[in-house]
Amino acid sequence: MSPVDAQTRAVKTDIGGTDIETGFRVVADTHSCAVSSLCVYRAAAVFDQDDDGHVTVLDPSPPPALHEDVRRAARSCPTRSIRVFENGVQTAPDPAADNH
Amino acid sequence: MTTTNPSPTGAPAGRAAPVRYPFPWTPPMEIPEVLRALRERAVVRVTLPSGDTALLVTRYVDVRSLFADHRLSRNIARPGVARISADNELFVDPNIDPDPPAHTRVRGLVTKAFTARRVEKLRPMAQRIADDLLDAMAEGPRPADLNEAYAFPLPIKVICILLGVPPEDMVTFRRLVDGFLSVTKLPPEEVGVCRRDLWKYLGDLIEAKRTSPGGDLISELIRVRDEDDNRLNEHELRFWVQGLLIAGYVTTASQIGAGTAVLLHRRDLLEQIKADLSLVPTAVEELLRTQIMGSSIGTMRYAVADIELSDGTVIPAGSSVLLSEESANVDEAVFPEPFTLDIRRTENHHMTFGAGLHYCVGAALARMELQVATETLLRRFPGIHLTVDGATLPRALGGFMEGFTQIPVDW
Repeated sequence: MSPVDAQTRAVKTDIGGTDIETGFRVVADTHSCAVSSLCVYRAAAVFDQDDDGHVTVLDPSPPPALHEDVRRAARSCPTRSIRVFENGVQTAPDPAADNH
Repeated sequence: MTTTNPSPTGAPAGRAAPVRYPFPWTPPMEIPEVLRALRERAVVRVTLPSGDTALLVTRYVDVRSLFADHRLSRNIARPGVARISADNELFVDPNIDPDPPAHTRVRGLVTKAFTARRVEKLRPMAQRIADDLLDAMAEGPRPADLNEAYAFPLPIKVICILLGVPPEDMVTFRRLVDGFLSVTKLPPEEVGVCRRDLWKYLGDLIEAKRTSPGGDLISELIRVRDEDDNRLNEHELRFWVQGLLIAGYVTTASQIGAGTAVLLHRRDLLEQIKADLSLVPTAVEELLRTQIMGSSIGTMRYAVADIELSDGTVIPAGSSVLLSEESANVDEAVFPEPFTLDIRRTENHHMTFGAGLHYCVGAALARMELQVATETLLRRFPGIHLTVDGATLPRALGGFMEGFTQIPVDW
């Protein structure tokens, strides 16, 4: 298994019951979030913050018009706490960037 | 420092004649020339103002990953860590644990004040402050110094309201903070006096707020501390208030001043933004990327284990390490045409606010202030210009910030 496959599988396991096998799916890790707020500024319809400022996902399957903003939010996250899957494959951030 | 681990290119990590760091800002209005060839090696050995040496990490992929790496400790009070300045301990405090989990516990008390929602609630206030300052500038002497008329008072007034610090204390704490951040500017005795006076000022401020609390962040932190000493002790309280006050204005003020100066120097870019003020947010990010207000000496870390970089170069355990934000920000592997100032650049994930769990807590606030400051100035003073050649503007030397000391403007 390539490192990318292994990592994708690990993330799938992490998020438990969420179906990421089909369509456009956003997942976020509240625990690793460092409260940059960048995702909220990028896509306020998709991301929000809890009382402590940690990321929450309002819409895990946003409409196509928001896809590029959401991908960019995932790429800009300073803690890589946001991941985007399209038909089961992680498309943002670039999985290779995490495995130098 | 031993650097015996060979890199794939055959050169041991950082084994070459060390270069002086921070790098000189030449030419002053451009991205420093020295950054062009810096990433030929993943690590460069540098000599700090103290005379100590450290390893400077140059490539985006490594800088980004090391910001989040637990093998790099921020506890630089330990013996054997390179000193930045010979005359000032700067942010070294043996009574503060800047690593997880202690750091995470305290940081969590502060980050909630800087969420997008909280920052946007402050935007109208920042706008009023900007307008008031420009009203005053319009009626004042010409040329005006943009630093004193606008760039400094704007973030100072915002952070004073957020923290609940009396704005009339500005003159006092600015002088003390200037000494606190001295690298080579002031002799050690003067630095010591400033550090002691600043610490005492903050202690008095906290006691005054303990007696009559307000709705501000310092009062909130005092309440947390007085409820549960295990969440925040008295020393941590004062240390964080000090950090929030300093980081809350020095960085943003220097960036407002230096960023505006660069725009005024680059008339071609200035005209484009004036014609379309919706370019301000991306222009602000591009000015942040090009790191015009400082070096990366504040990123000092200590390697608690050997760390292998992306090209196989090894940073040996025991090394003092600096993560070069300014070099990462012009990495050709990440940014197309990195030495071109592109005010429309959208894919601009620069390292100016760091990355990982130490990402700047005030980044959203800083961005909001930079946007308000830039948009308001250009909208209200469309004829604003430097009254001297921008290439001759003097940079601040010998301190933590490297903005311009004076920015004479007319309109």
